[in-house]
Amino acid sequence: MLDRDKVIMMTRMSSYEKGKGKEHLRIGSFFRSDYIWASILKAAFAITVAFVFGLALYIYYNFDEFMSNIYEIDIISILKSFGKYYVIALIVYVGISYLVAFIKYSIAASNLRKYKSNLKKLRKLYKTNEKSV
Amino acid sequence: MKNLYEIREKVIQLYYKYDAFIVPALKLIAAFIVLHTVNSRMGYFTKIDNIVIELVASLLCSFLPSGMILVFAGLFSLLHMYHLSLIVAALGVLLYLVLYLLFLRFSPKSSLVVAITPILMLWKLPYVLPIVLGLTATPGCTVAMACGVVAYYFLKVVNANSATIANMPIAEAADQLKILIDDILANKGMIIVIIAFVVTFLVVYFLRRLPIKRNWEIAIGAGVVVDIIALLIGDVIMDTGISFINIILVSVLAVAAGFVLKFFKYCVDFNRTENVQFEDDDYYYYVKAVPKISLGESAQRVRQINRRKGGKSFMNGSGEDLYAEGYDDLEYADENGYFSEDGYYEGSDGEYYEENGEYTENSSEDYRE
Repeated sequence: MLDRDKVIMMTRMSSYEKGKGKEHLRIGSFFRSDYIWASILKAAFAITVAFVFGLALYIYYNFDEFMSNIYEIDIISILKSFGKYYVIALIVYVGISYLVAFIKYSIAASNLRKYKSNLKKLRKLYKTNEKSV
Repeated sequence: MKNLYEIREKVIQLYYKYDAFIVPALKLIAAFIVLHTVNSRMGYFTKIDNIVIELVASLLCSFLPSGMILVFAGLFSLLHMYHLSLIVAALGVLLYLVLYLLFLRFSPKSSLVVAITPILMLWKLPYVLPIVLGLTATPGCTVAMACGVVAYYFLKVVNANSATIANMPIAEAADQLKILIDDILANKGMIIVIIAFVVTFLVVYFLRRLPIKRNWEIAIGAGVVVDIIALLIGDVIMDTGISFINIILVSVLAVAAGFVLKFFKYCVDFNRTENVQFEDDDYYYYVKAVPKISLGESAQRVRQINRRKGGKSFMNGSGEDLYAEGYDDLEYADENGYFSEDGYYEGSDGEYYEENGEYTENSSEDYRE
């Protein structure tokens, strides 16, 4: 016998699993600290790659100048100056990524709590139905 | 106004009924417009500048995720750039990669915004975007919008210098790069537009969410004013040469777009019909869940009383005589419910009753059809 409440609840949960729940369940499979650390590492990788691209472009752009003054250029001071920009960019970008990851995890955790509570309700409904049968 | 509400209801009913066809069709149209615009504006690689290829790619986009429109647009533009010069294509790949790695990975779902922004900028309608997105989207869209603006200015610079670059030999690749980078860095308008769009979006977004009366109207008005002021200040500081007649005209359009969205806001919850499948120990369930349309209840009651010929009594569900003998009417209503000519009575409980007051299960469907 079909139970109306059960079908409605299962439909809502299935719809959640298919939509936002897919992402939330993926996020929820990590501990909070692991998820945030993974996001920070990804962010550090992304900003490093972007910085390397930028550096490559800068060198290519000024290639003639570099080659003509190759023996007079103070490479250490240039690297220091690039390093300074890199560290600033890294701190800002990682900070933003940390915030985004923290907010995303909190939203996912809150939705998953509701989802799990619905699972419990569903289990109770099943038990009630079994007893009545 | 009543007619407008009726049209709105019909549009929404139609959308929910045929969303399985409407969504792919809209994606197909969007993909075709984007790809055709890329081809017509760049067009260096004549082999892909072909309407059949555009249609095939658009058809693929229609049943793939919406992000694929951006992927195809990026591929098309890179192929054109590659045909122009290897170094331009390399710069394009670097730019797209950096945009993706740094920004777009935060809002992968708004990739369509990145594809649409350059198109709107080409059509000189970009100022509609922050208003419309501020009313409908989340702040993640600002990133997508900014990426779209950067892509537009990059493609604009490539187009502007295409003739010069095409005549330069590959040995002068460094000079080609210099021309492009110098032009991009000299383009102050890009920064101004990005700042104006982000500020406008945030103003519209936060005002729209305020729990005050007429928040949508306030958000639209404030958004337009902030957009104009931000662009004006930017123009004064950086002398970007933005056309203010265009800004004013497009702002009027943005207000109109905002009010159209407001008109639909109570009905369109952007939850489409869901087809879900699950199972338990006894059954397999294939459920189609159709979101309810929460139209404001009509306060209109039509009372048209004519002389009755036959003299017949109509009862509602609780057996009360709703109809005084000796009168004939086409439609009759009182505080208990609504009578229609087809014999169904809609009670105050929202259910439908036949003339004899009995509840009828299928009358709701019949009545609506």
